[in-house]
Amino acid sequence: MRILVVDDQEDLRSLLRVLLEREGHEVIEASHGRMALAMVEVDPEIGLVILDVQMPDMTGWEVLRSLRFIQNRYIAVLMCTVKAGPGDFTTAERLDVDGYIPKPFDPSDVRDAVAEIIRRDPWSEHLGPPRIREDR
Amino acid sequence: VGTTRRGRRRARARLDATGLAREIRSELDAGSVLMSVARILDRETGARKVCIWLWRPGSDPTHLLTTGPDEDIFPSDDDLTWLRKAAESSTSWRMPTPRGPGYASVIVAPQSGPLAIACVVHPQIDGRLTAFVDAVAEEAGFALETANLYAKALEEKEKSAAILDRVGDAVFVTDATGNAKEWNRVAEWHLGLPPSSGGGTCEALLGLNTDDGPLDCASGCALMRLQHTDHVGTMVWRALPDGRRQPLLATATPLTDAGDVYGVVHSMRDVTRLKEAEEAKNLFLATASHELRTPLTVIQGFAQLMQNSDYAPEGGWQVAVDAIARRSKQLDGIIERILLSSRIEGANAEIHREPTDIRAILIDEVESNASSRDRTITLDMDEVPKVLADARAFTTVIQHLIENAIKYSPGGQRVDVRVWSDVEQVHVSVRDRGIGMAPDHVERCFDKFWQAESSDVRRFGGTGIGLFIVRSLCVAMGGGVEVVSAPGQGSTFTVSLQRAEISVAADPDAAPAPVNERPARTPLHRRVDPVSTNSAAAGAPGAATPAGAPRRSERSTIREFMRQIGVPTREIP
Repeated sequence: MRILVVDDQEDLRSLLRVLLEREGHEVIEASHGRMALAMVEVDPEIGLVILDVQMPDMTGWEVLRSLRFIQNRYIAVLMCTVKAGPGDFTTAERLDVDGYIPKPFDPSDVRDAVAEIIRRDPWSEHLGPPRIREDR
Repeated sequence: VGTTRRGRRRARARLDATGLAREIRSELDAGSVLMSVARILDRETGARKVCIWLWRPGSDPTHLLTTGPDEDIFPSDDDLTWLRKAAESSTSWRMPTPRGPGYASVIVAPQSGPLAIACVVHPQIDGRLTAFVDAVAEEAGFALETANLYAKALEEKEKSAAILDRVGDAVFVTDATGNAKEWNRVAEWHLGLPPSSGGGTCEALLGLNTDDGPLDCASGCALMRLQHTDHVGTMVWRALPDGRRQPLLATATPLTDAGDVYGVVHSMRDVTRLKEAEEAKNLFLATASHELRTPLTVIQGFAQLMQNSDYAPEGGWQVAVDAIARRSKQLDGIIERILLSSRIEGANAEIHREPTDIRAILIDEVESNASSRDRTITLDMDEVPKVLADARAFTTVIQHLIENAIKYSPGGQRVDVRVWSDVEQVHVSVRDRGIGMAPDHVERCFDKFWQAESSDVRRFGGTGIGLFIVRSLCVAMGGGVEVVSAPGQGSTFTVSLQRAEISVAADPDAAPAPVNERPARTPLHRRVDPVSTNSAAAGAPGAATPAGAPRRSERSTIREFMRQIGVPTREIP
C-alpha cells in the first residue's frame, strides 16, 4: 500500500513523507487536488490519502467527495485540518473520513493516526458490493 | 424707639395668626420677599405710603419701591445720608417726613446682617403700628435669609448639573422606587434618552440586559445587586434600534440620608470601542497563532525527526535543513510584521521623510518576488521623480502589496506594477487579476486584523495586518493608498507619494518628449496596456487610475498654462 500526501506546501509534504517513510511506509506526493485524483486513478497501490483541506484548486473536502465516487476500491482518507476535533465537523464529514490530523501537528499525531487506520483496516470493512451513498 | 416688648410679642402673634408670616416666608427670592413686605404693610396698616430701600451698612440706601403715587417718593437724595446714619444707630426709629410722621425698621437677616429698610408713613404712629412694622421686618429678615440660601443652593445645583454634563459617562439618577429623576447630557447622547429629565423607570427608559437576561428591578435596583465592591462596574448591554448590542460598563451607587436610601446614581460608560478592540485582539491572537504554528510545525517536525540520528531519509537531511531555514525566515517576517504594526500603533515607527529615488527599490522588489515566487511580475515605469519617502518604509509597503497580489491570485496570474507621476505626486500601482474584493470588503481592507474570509474558511492565511501596515506607512510618509477592486477581477492598490519637488517643466522652449516615445527601459520593463480599473463597481470614485494620470503631453499643457498665468516653472530632471 502506498500513502499519497496531498498538500500545496512543499515542505509540509516532505515532512510527512520523511516521517512516514521512517515508519516503513511508501509515500508519494501531490501538490494539489487534481494531481492527487489523477495519481489515484493511475496508481492502484494507493490505499491511504492524507489530504490538506486548504488548497488552491480544490478543497480537501472536494477531493474527498471525488475519491468516494471510485467504485470497487476503498481509499482511506486522513484529513489534515486546523479544525480540532470530531465535534467541529458535520455528520457527513465525520462519516466520510477515516481520521484527522490536527494542524499544526506533531510527528507523533501523524504516526498515531496512520497506525490507527491500519489497525482498523477500513479496506476490508468496505470490501464487497459498493455502498449506495445518498446525496452524492 | 417706639416698640415695647409686649407690643412686639402681640404683633408677632398677630402675624402668625393671620397667616401673614407664612405669606412672607412663602416667597423664595429676595425681591419677592420685599414686595410682599410692602404689600402687607400697605394693606394691614392703612399707611399713606410704604417705602423699601435696600441697604447694607457703609453704603447708601438704594430705593427699591414705594407704594402710592410716584412723585411722592421720599426721602429726597438729601435725606439719604441722614437715613443711613439713623439706620446704623438703631434697628428702628421714628422720623418726620415731608408727608407726615414716619416709622422705619431695618430688615436684618440673622446670618447676613442688615439688608433693607422698610418705612411706613402714617398720620398716627403708635406703639401698635411700630410693633407691627418691626414684626414684619423681623419676619422679612428670616425670609431673606431663606431666599439667600435658596439662591445659593440653586447656584450649587446648577454647578453640579454643569459638572454632571461634563462627566464623560452617562449619569442617570432614580428615586428609591426606581423612577428616573434626572440624567445628564451624555446619557441623552449615549443612551438615547429624551432631552427632558425625569419620568419613567430604568427598565422602560433603558432596557438593560446582562448575558443572563434582562435586568429585573422589581425588587430594587438590579444593577446595585450586581455591583461589585471594587466599583469597577458591571458589564451590561442595551439593545440598539438596529438590533446591535451596545456594551455598557455600569455602576449603581445608593444615595442615603441617615441610612435611608432615597435614590440611586447610575453611571454607564459606552465601551463599544473597547469591546471592538478586544475582539480585534482576539481575532489577531487566533490568526497570528495559527500563522506562527504552521512554520513551527515544519521546523519542530523536522527537528524531531533529525534528533534520531539512526535514521536518514533518502537524499539526506538537506530537504529538512532547507525547510527549517525557510520557515525560520518566514517566522521572522511574521514577527517583524507584528512588531512593526505595534510600533505604528504606539507611534514609534521611525519614519524619516527625505527625497528618495524609488526606482531601485521597485526593480529590486519586483525582481526578487518574481524569481522567489515563480510569478510573472511586470514593471512599467520610465522616469520617476524623487519622492518624499522613507526608503525602508517604502520597501515594506511595496513588499506587502506585491506579496498580497501574489497571495490573492492563487491561479498564478500575472501581477503588474506601474509607476507614473503628476505635478505633485508619484503613483505606484500594484495590480493583480486574482479573487478581488466585494465593495463592502474594499472599505474595510485596511483595517487592522481584518480579513475578507472568516477564520474557518480562510484559504490564504496571514495575520490581517499587512494592509494596515501599508496604509499607516503611506500616511506617515505624507502620502496615501487607494484600492480599486471587484470580485473575480482582482485588485489594484495605488500608493501616492509627494514629489520631492513640486514640478512642472521649466524651460517652455524645451520640447517635451512625445507621449509614445519613452526612454530605454530596464530589462524587466514590458509595455502593458493601461489596466481597466473598476472604480465605479468598487464604489471608489476618484481612485487614481492610470488613464487619468497626467502624461508627458499633459505636463507640457500644465506648463503652458502656468506660463500664461505668469507662474515661473522649471524642469526637474
